[in-house]
Amino acid sequence: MNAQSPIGFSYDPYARDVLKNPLPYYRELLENHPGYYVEKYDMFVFTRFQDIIDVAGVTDDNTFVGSESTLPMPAAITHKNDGPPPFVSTNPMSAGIMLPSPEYEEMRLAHIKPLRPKAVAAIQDMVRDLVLGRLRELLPRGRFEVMGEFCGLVSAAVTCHLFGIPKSEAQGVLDAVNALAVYSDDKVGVDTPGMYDQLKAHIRPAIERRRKAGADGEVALIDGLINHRVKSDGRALTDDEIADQLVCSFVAATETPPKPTSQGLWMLWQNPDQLAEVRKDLDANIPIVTEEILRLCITNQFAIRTAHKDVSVAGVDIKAGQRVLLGIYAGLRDPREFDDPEKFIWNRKINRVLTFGYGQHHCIGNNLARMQVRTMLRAFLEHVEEFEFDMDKAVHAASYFHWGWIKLPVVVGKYSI
Amino acid sequence: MKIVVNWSLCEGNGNCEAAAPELFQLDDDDQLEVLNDSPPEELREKAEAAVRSCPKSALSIEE
Repeated sequence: MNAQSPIGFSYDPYARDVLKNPLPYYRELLENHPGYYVEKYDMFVFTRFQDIIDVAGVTDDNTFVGSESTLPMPAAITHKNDGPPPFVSTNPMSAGIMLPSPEYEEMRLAHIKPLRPKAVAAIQDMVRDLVLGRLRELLPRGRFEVMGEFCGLVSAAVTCHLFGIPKSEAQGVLDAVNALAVYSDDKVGVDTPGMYDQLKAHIRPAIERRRKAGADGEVALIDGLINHRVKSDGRALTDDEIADQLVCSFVAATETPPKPTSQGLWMLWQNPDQLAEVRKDLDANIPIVTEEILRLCITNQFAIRTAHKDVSVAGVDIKAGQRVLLGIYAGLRDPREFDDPEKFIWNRKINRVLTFGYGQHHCIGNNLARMQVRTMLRAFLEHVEEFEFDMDKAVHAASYFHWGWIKLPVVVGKYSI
Repeated sequence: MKIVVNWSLCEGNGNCEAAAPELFQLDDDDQLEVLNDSPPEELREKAEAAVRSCPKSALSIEE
């Protein structure tokens, strides 16, 4: 059974109108079109919270694999697959997000150590110092851009720490990542292969540095992969293969935490009563408000997988070779999961989190991201008593996988630091 | 009731520990330890909450 596209509504995740404002499309998909079929990409779109959990929760036997990229350019998926497409190469080892099991899990576990809960807690003080350092520089200016100048540079410095890159290179890391996300009317996507080549130019020197230093585990993200031996044949990974496993973390660690943090501050500024409530007890309330911010203030829209087996899930029969789109941004606004879902309610009861995805590809950096968001929010609200956003100078932008603010200038009143 | 961990999926996020500390614990290296993989019936609700809470879908209950 394929869900039919009824007359009068059509959804193409890459269409210009959708990129401009996907929200009306998400409402319609959520309300009337579970498992919506897009002929052009031979793809089923899932937007309901439970459906996304059900589809992403199919984690056995390579039923769904990111084999055509989890964020493909539209041109990469306009052909119909005749059965399952080939798996990507595992020798040389392809980029992590495209790998099938068991190599997918093997590569993740080889570099996950510094991203685990206790390892992340251990660097929280360092992150707080970075945050305070930024605030000491920015607050006396009275006006700055929150996304890049505050949050972006903090997260880029954390990326430097993770990769064993001197923190003095944080601006360069931030610029390199931001350069890939230049939005324009003509450019709806990111050229993933090109992006990998550009970013690997930054990551490869870090790997070489760790090899020279003996890869003793101090920079566990890289050292773990240097010291790993591929289970199927016992070989070590080359620098290029290692870099391919790390591009995703390099980008995500740098550009992801600033978005919910700065948009969360913007949301709180628009809801002064809620901001006042949060301020009453920052220690207790920051972890709570962070969850609502992570629900409503993220910018990534969806992820795609390719079916490698026939499977029946979330009410849809999917054939090997067809694609599925997991509409995370929409799912976080599903009224079946959240009352009044588009409303920001700082202490809303949140039973399940979909922000970081679910199942096999669940965000490897979720602990680090959450800690960064909490730490930046906490310090900003503690030290800045009065602030307002200058929305005339704010910049909103869209690509198919991000939709939201990319520049949020703030004017600071009373502060103390 | 038996708790089954898919060890190739588990990444030690610790949600299960928060949901059911009687049954799960992360060690100092953030590796999951199952404290009791055959819990008594009175812990069923907590065990099921732990299964639901796993973002990796790495936990299940076998009867």
